[in-house]
Amino acid sequence: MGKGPKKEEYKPTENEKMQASIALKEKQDFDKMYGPLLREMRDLADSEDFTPTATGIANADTMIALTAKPSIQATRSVDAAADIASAAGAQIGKATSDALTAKRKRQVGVLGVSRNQQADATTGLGKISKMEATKSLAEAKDKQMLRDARTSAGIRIATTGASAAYAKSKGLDGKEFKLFQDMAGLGGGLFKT
Amino acid sequence: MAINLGYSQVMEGYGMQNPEAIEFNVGMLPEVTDPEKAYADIARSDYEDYMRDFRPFEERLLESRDDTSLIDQADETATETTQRAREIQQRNIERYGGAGLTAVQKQEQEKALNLGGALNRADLLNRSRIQQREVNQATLADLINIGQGVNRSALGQLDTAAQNSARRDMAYKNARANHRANMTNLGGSLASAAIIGLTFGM
Repeated sequence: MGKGPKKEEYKPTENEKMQASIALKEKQDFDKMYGPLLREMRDLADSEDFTPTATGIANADTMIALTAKPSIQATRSVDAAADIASAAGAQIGKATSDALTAKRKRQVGVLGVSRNQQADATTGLGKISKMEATKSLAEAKDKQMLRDARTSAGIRIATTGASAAYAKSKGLDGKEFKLFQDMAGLGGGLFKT
Repeated sequence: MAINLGYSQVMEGYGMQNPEAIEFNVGMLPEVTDPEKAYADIARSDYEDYMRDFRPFEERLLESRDDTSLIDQADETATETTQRAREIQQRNIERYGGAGLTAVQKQEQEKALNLGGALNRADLLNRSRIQQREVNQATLADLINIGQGVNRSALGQLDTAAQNSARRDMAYKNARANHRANMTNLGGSLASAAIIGLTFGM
């Protein structure tokens, strides 16, 4: 009758022990190097607020679009200030929302990594820097453009009328009047044939 | 036997010195005599780390699904933007020396701004409610995805543990049955030998 199984025959081999040693060292190094990074990211995700940056961009965009060229027409207009308030409000509201979305995405990413789930590294910060204009800003911009265009057209019409009256008083015919207009740089696109 | 795999060697190969390089040798590896125990220790330590470092963060994030910060901010933003627009208008009027506005026109401008401000506030509040809901829903969806993953991993590990336990139980039952069969055979053989001995007076 043979002897029973020996305990040492069931011990891990030297190769297995070496593999386990390396794996343990890798794990220790990982914890040492990347553990603090993830904790740092956790703190940043908790504390960092993108709102001031995002609203700053939104406000600047609005003001550049609507107040960069002050005009007396806009100043005299009844609703220009209300349009600015509305456009700025909409832009800043969107910026605040984008900032919160970015913050949440980052937090969820950190949690995903800590839970050994898929990480989502995108925070949507790029989106903030390329923020699209809201409908209100576009409308206010269009309104201002229209106001400027109307003013410019009014000036042209008035100038053409005055120059036509002047030409008539001097007895110029159509061709001479056109030449006079071209020389004076008047009329622009309005009366081009 | 020490195998030098240090960064310094590589640097020296390029004729560069790096006094801060740490030379590595296999003797620096942790000794593992029982891989199963090492793995169990790591699993426990990882879980303890998670509980200490990330559980409170996770709880805060779970609570954020009821966040109302955007809605709270809307009113303040509306007031600020209306005020800013009023100041811009005032500056422009001063820039153009009153811009030829009559008292009635000024009054109308103020009225329009007040009306616009009220509309702005209402619009901003409504938009903020929708955006807040979207952000909260997206966070909730992400959290649910993470939770599903955690649940799947936990079930997978439990499944493995349960299968191992069932295999061990089966192996134990088989061993016990074999042992009983062996003992029965041994008893039978002994009894047979005894009967033969008694019968033949051996």
